[in-house]
Amino acid sequence: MRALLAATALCAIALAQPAGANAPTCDRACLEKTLDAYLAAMVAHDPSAAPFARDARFTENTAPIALTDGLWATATGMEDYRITAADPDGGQIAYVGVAKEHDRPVLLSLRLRVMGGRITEAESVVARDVIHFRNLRQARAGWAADLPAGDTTTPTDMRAGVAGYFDGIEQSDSSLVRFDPACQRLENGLQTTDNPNLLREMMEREGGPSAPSPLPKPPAPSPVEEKPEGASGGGMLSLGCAAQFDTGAFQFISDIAPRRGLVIDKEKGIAFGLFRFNHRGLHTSYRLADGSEMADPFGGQPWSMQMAEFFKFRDGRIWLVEAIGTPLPFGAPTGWENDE
Amino acid sequence: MRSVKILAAALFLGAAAAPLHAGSEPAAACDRACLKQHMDGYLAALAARDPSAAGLASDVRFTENGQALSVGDGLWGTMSGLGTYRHDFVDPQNGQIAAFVSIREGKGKAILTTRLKVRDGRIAEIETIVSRSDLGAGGMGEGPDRLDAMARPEAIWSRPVARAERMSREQLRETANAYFAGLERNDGKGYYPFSDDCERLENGFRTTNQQERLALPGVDPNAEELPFAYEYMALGCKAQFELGYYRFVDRIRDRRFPIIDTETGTVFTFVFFDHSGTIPEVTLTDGRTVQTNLDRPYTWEMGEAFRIEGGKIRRIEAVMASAPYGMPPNWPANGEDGE
Repeated sequence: MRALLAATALCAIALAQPAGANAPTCDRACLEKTLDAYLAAMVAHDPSAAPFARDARFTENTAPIALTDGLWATATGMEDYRITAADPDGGQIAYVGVAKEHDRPVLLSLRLRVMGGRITEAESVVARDVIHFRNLRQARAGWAADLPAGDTTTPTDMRAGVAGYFDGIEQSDSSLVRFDPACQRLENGLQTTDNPNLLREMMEREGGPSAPSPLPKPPAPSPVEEKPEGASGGGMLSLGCAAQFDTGAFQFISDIAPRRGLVIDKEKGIAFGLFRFNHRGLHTSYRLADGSEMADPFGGQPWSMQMAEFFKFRDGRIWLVEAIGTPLPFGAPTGWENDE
Repeated sequence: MRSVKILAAALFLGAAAAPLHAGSEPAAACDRACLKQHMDGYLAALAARDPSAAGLASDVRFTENGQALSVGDGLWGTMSGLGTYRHDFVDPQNGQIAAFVSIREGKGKAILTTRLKVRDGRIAEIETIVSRSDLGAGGMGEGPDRLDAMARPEAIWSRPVARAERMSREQLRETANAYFAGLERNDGKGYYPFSDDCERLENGFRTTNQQERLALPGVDPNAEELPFAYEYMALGCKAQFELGYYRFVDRIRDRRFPIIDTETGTVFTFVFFDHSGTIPEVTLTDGRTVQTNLDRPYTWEMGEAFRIEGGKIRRIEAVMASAPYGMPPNWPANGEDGE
């Protein structure tokens, strides 16, 4: 009911603003309401209940499908998990949350562009192969809060931080990015920094070891064969953001391009973007910085991942990272090639 | 046997005569043997990771799993060898050949589906689907091993159809299309032109008249109550369609029929299967309601081939890989002409 009221209010706003048809006239509250209207309409399987522009563009996992298809056809509800980043000047809001698809949770990331009160772009990434949702009940407090008074983070810091982060992965070099010492990362709900239990967690899939699905999923990582002390043996999973970069354990990622769809939230100090991880699979193992040998986690196959990532900054440094991703055929287009 | 020899002789004569007509029928410039040689050369070059050895046109167009890639990228950088299985489909009339091939890639195995178009003695188009054992092959990761164990396709695929019984290209195409029309939103009441002894192979697994309890995604072979999938796969082609089980396949779209061989009655197709995930259970024509386990959107991209005799489908072979739901095609609709 609340969603209906919100949708009604939005329609009224939209009708009241015909003059600003192509201007980003939606402030933060308006962007959040538009997002809520989108989610409510999705769960109702009724795109007419959200303020879509007539020529709105929509993709789910890079495919340009109808707004009555994909998660719009299967969503049955929303859970509470929520991170948003709003950029009223650019007319964009980014979101990650947990949707229910036939009552089974899936991770949903959205980038909406709202012009003249209407949604003109909706880019969704749906991760349907999430291992567990233990870390996805409620977002950590840092995500919702505005930057505290005195925090030095600037939009320039955030853009540089994002660029340096992906350069640092490509080049196995943490000196390219300014990390807060307490930096932590969630990837599809798994804590992938400072987590010596990660490998065990990955085996503990909710709903049993074999989810009943023929869906595309990331290739299963090979069992760890190496000695546990070395970075190659899973030791890197106990390390923090910066130290992980320097182990060389990310060498199986060939490049991260394109990097696009940036949404910079100046008040919260959050940067969001869409990033394509390309794995060429050219080697079946890699030599790490400590001299140990790491098997390619995916056995030497070419494949890509579409990632949607949120970065929370603290005094100009990356403090929290939240990544949502879904596997794609190697080299797949983003679905938004002509727009940027 | 005699008719086969005569036919083969006729073909060679036809091939020998082709240059005389080269001006009027350039499409017939590469006959069966020529097309197979191009496939031989392409596969050898791929195994050697050496595109320069494949006889490629300078403007060759290459896709892998629906993505336009540079030659040298994708499987060209990861292929580690050929398996023992290879199943060719040829169409000299439009200069195309396709194959299902078991391969080695990195540390694993995969099934390669590939279509080549030969123009002016060079490979001008390469369309591939790599069905990888881990990435997107569902639970059918042993498919390449199954194909390697077979080593070669059943002989029936290459047996020439008696000249008097040959179907036209259009008839063959329509019969293959009847398979997709019957399967899409399958209700058990459609036109299902299958022979009584029809069999289907999918990613290396026989999925008709199958008594073995295959390892399938989401299916517990030791469940107290036998999962419906096993009962279903124990049926023949026509009985399966008549049950109306495939209703969860919402769309079979972007159907292309690039290779039609009237001599062997074979059709090689590329299609996308879209599953909206909105049909988690179906009521069969026998009144039972069964779970499909398909409650999320997903798409298969597939190469699928048919052996057709007397207007009926006798053999089906398909290789599929997962694609983002609704992924658009990367080749024009009129694949038969390759344009």
